[in-house]
Amino acid sequence: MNPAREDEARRRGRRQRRLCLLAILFPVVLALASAFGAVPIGPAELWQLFSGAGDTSDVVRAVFWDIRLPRVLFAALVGASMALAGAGVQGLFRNPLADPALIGVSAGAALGAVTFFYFGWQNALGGWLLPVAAFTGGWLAVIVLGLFNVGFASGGTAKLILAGVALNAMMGSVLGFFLFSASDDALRSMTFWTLGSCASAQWSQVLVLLVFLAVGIFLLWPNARPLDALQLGQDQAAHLGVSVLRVRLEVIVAAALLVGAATAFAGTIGFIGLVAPHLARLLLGGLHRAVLPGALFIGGMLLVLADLGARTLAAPAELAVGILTAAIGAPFFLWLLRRPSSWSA
Amino acid sequence: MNSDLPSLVAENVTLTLDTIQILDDVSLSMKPGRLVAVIGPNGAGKSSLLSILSGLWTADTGRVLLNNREVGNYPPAERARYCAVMRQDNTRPAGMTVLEAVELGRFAREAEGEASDLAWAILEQMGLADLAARDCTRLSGGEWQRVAFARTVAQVSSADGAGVLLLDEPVSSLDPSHQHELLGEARRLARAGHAVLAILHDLNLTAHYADEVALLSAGRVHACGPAAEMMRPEILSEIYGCQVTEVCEGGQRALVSFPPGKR
Repeated sequence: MNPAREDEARRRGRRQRRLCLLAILFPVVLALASAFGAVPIGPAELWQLFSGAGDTSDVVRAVFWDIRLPRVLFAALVGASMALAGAGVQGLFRNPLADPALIGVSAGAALGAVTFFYFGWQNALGGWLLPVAAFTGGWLAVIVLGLFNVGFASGGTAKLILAGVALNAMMGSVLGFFLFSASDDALRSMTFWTLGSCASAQWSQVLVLLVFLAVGIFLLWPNARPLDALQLGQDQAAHLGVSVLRVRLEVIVAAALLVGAATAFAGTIGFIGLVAPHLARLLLGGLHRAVLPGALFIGGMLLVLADLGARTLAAPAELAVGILTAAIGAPFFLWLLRRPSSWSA
Repeated sequence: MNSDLPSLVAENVTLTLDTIQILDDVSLSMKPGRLVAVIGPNGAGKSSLLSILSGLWTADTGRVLLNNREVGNYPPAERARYCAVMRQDNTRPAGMTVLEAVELGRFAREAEGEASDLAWAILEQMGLADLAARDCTRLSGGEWQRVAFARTVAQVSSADGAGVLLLDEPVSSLDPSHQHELLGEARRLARAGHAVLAILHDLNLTAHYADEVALLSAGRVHACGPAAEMMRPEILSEIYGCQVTEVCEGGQRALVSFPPGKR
């Protein structure tokens, strides 16, 4: 066998193994994270809780099932959603700096949430008004982008990126006005919301996030191969048989659903959507059949770990998780950029 | 299999972009077994013509028929099975190996991972096998151009009939030896029944490899016909606006160009 083909086969094997490793690591990190917190839960207790065997105290059981586990799953789902959306959008724009925020959904969601706080609305709809307001804001932003039709149907991705930048600036200015003229109480709520948090996690939210993640996967997975082809340029992809417009619409809708839902519940959590897909590519190479699931696992784990830090580092106080994702993530990312890629080396 | 297939025919195509007339009443026909070269000065409309032939752009008037059916009426995936295009685009996919990039040629035909053997065979045939595991971003310009050609060949390789190949300056980054290798392969594909079109700048390569030549100038087909009739110094001097002379040495003929006004 030609050594180059052996190399290629080795590389494919390595990709499979690393992806499997991530898939195994993911539940392990989740289990570990649910063991730590104000009430520590040992491995034996953890096992008893899951298997239903033995007798754990009611306090431990309540802490685990009602607070700890939903929160860990919440963080995992939010992180996974942001990362998956980021992987799709980066592939679509063929731009490593692309971020789901680029299509305006994060800023739109922030605007929705800030409007909610500004007018001092009560969190009606059984506590669901805030996420609904944020989600609606996010989607309105994407629809506005679509209405302008800049770069959606025609034109290069550069136009779409620039349109996103303009939209973000526009919403930033409205956001700024609200922040400027808000009452002190509202300002505090707004600021905390924009720092992001997993503290409000509930099982119902976990369920909603799970549904959105499933829809996102459903939309993105069939586009893995078309996204690979798009890396050759939009025109060349069209010549290879890719329906470029359809891929674009599906990826943007998927990203808007994923980021919209995640942001609605957790606030704006930056960085994960940008970094997790990069880490996935460094570990797994550029094919989206590997990058999409890789980013999903990595993003989930990153936010679970960041949230673990948020609730334990300054216990009994809570740090905003957004502070930690950037504080830990950014230096780690810089360090990774310094190293030669473990994939292409 | 229909013996008229594959074919690509442009009939009276015109194209205007932002009030600039790019193509004016262009007609062109590609047949199985023939290599057609399109030559002409920069800005003559060669690449625009290729975008229209490939169905990527729509002509203002006139029509393009791929296998006797309007090219715009094909769904992208079906069109890709009959017509492969190699653009000048130098966009390299990061984190993707040469083998994976060539496998992408099979996008419209097979699921991911099912085309490795074919892609490998084509790489071996083109002397690119040693690069198979190389990241595409670590190739030289010429290597990447050869890989792009291999991908285009992978796209039309099929047991159920030949296809149309459109090549936009396929040898622009290659050294002389690889220029001959690539165009020799393109001609071999034509002989095997494919219909091949290449946009070229090198007059001698055109004279050597093309069966037919279309001379494009200012958006119009200046002349079109067998290569031997088209590649004449007086015609070429006129469309390029510089002096083209034929020199003979030991039975070999070559076309040489000089700056305007000098001999």
